[in-house]
Amino acid sequence: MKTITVNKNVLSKNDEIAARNKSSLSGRGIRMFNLLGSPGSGKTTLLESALAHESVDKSKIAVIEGDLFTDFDAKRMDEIGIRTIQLNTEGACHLEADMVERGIDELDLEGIETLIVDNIGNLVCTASFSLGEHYRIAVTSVTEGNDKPLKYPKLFKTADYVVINKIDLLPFTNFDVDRFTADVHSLNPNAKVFTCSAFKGEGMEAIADLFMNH
Amino acid sequence: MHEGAVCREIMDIVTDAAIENEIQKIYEIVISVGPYSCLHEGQLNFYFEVLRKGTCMEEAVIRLEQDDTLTGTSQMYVKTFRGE
Repeated sequence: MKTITVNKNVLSKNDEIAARNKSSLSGRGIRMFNLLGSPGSGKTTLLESALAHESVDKSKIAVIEGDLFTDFDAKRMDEIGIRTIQLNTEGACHLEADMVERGIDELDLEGIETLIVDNIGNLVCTASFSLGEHYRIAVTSVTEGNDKPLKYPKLFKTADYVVINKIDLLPFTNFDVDRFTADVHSLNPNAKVFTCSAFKGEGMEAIADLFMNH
Repeated sequence: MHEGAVCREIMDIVTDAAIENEIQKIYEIVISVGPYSCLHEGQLNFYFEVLRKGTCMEEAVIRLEQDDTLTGTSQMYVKTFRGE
């Protein structure tokens, strides 16, 4: 009987591909955002609203849409004139770096400066898989409740930006923006928190600016 | 639910290391996990019981060992395995 010492990162294969994605995009002057959040938090609506903003040059932005089965989200990006590609995981709960690598290969990235990955709606699994993004955005909405940062700490610990969406619904909920923000900062003091309503347009200028001028 | 993907990676890493070290049969695999590994031992074992059939790990168990020094996005390491 022998004991073999391995000490290898379980996700090393994913992380190596992620590093490759990041360096190849960096070399072309492209910054990649990974958009994470629960189903219905408004990730795709946030993109529709932010990328339709007058300050956005649509020719510089491309989107990789992640979904289990449908191409609903890619169609929504098509409709607003954003270059996009749909990845289907056929039931898997998160995107991995190799899928995004294939998306990058298939997309025409000529003139693109910002690539956004609209990940599968999931607060747990998505947070463990690096795609090679330069920035990670956690999207949450006031109807999901206050307790999410502490209940799903990994997502909020690893996010560079946190977006609190559906702020127009605040009067109808018991959501406490200050408490939520304090919980995010207790996990991750450097995370920048935005509030907005992708549906009504409130606060979208700052999100558009983030995508254009990161 | 990502435990399926994690299990597949663990088995690939262990298979490669077993071939390299001429191990034919594996009895135990130890995984170090950080405080935010988000790895559920029960779910991992569920996938492992399905995927190990017909492999050199057919009789193996996976044991998780807590290591609070692991931080960042990836907090799971194949630490050691035991076999002959």
